[in-house]
Amino acid sequence: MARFVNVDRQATLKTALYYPAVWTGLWITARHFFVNMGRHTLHAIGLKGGKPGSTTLQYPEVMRPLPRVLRSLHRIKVHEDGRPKCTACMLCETACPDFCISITPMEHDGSPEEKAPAEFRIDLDRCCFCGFCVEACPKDAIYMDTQIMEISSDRRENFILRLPELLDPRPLLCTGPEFRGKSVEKVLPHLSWRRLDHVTPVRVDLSYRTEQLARLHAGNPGTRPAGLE
Amino acid sequence: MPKLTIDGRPVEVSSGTRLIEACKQAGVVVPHFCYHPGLSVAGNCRMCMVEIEMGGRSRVAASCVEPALDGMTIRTASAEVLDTRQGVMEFLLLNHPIDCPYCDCAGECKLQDYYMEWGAIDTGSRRETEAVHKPKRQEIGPHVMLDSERCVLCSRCVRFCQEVTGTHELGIEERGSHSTLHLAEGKSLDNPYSGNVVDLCPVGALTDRDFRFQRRVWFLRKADSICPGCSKGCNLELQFDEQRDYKNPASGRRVQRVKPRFNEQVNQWWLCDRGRYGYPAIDQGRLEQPRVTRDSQLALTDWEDALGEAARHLDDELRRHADQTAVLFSPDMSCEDLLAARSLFLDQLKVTRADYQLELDPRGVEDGLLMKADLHPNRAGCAALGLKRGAFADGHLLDEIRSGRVRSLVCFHWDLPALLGAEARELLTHLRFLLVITPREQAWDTLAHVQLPAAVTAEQSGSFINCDGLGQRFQAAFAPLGAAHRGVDLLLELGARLGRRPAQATLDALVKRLEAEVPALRGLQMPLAPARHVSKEAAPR
Repeated sequence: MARFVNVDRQATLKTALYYPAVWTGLWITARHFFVNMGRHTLHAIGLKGGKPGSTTLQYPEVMRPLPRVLRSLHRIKVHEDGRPKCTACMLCETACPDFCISITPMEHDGSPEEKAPAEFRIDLDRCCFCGFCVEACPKDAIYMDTQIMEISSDRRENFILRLPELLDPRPLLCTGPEFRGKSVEKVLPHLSWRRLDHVTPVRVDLSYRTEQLARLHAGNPGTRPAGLE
Repeated sequence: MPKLTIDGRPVEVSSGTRLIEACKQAGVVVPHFCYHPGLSVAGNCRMCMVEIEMGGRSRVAASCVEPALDGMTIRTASAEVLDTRQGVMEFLLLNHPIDCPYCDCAGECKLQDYYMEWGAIDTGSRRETEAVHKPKRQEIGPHVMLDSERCVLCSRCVRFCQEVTGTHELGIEERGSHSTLHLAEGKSLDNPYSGNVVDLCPVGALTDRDFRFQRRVWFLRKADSICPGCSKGCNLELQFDEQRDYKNPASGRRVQRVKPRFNEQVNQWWLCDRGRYGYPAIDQGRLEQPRVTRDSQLALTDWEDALGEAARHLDDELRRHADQTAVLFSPDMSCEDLLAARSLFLDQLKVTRADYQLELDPRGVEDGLLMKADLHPNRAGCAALGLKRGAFADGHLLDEIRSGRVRSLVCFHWDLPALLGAEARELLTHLRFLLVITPREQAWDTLAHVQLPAAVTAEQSGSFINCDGLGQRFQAAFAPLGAAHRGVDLLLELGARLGRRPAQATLDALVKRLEAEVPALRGLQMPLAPARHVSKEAAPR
């Protein structure tokens, strides 16, 4: 049961000491602001001898160097002829503790491995970035070395990576409001601070799956068991 | 009766037993590729070598060839045996391609298993020449894909085609490491049992074209079932993957493949291709929702409405023209369904005209091996449950309808529109009421007044009695598709709408009654799923 008590809080000397403390705090913040602004101004007009304006990293224009072993967004490597290294063996799907990977395999006549992924989906909403898929891959196809960690969206479907994004993850960085509607080629120069060389495929060729995808999408979903979606 | 010692365990086996079988009886599994209990002994893989000590001398010999003799001492894991085994594995793996990531056999491959168990030795690379390459990806028949490079030349498939089917399609050509499995000149592996070579192949050389790249075998779950394809009642395993299906909605098939289950009395190790590749019928062409015809308009509806409609009409017919009502049971129904249907229609509703056979029934091909001409799995079950043949006065359903002696009909499973043909379909329009209970989408259109979707064999537990009078029980693999319900549940619910309390209200009670009534079904062991009631299930929205 609630009880209300009226307390009359009188200003005492002890509480009055609070006001000078507030002013001291504000002064310290303001001093740092003006001193740093001065340093950045000197940096901007070239009087800092090449040194940064302050010790703070100017993200996102400047990227903190990330350790090479960091597990970031997934990618799938491609062969020189542009076909994915993935052979849809499903070992990553088997190893995944979050069931976030789902692969639809298909026959690939042009590949010595005979098999290729028609679709490869990673549901980032479920992924815990454990890296088991990377460990499991016998074909050295899946990697988590893109160093892309800024994954945000207001739509759930944007968290599902598919084969084209996995083979070339650069378009994923072009989703900011300032890049909306612009092509990757237009946006990439703005991302020069990114290290993207190692994730830039020479060639991506997904033509092998065009027919199969059309067949899959034309398939009859009416026969699937109810209650699983 | 020779007495021998296997790995220190004394065993007594019947005379003439091969050592490999004697070891199995002693609980020791000897690794092997070419030996198969259903085929002749080839003794060519040399994987089953064991050490035999007899009369003070010991030697290493192939256990699939040597008969068990009195006084033998067998060692299956001595240093010499392990050394031999590793040598055999090294030869087998020498030219074997590392296709495991995309080989469908990975996960159930003997070579993989034995490598992990016996062959994972570091001999260093001795290869100085290029590996022997052989043709890959050969479609040698409608169901089988051959990859010669993966073949370990065990010749099981060759012996199967010689000894079991007698069709001689396969042979091994060339010599040494160039030996290759080949199709005979001008032949194709298209005999009606060709799928069995895939089961026989211990490695991924012969793979199923139908299952090719569909699922990895370790994702599959399985249920013991009985083939509903003919009256032989072959034992089979339904291998399915419901968990992953939602990710690939377009694939639309729950059963991924069918494998035979060993049964000495029925099918031994084998299964015909018709039974093996007939499983798409489980998911395709199914009636998924009750249908009702009102004012010549066909409408999808829910169970409440459909059952109410069926009960109202049936009640009306039975009250006024009981002698004009007929029931056509089907030998595709399980014994449990038949008993529930019999007790409702014959025992309680006192319908006098009933039959379970049609003169128009198509016949299949019969051969000496497994396939039977009777394409229904449970005709013997119908007879065992006391259902009478020729209960229609003249023995012919069509005549009965034509002459107006039958004016309302309850039809189970039979696809009458397809069987009758166009002109005879017109006859069905003479019926005042037609209730159809079937798992299949059939061309009834507005002919049937109510169509109720039933479950197929894979979706319910039950039992069949095969052509030899052998009772066999099967297990439900998964829930019925869409809004379909198991025949027993559906009949109990229909009975309740007609104001009939069933004598056996649950599946367990039905099974007990069956066991009491039919000797062939006594003492069958297999867990049965608990009964569910239709009305407790959510109706389709």
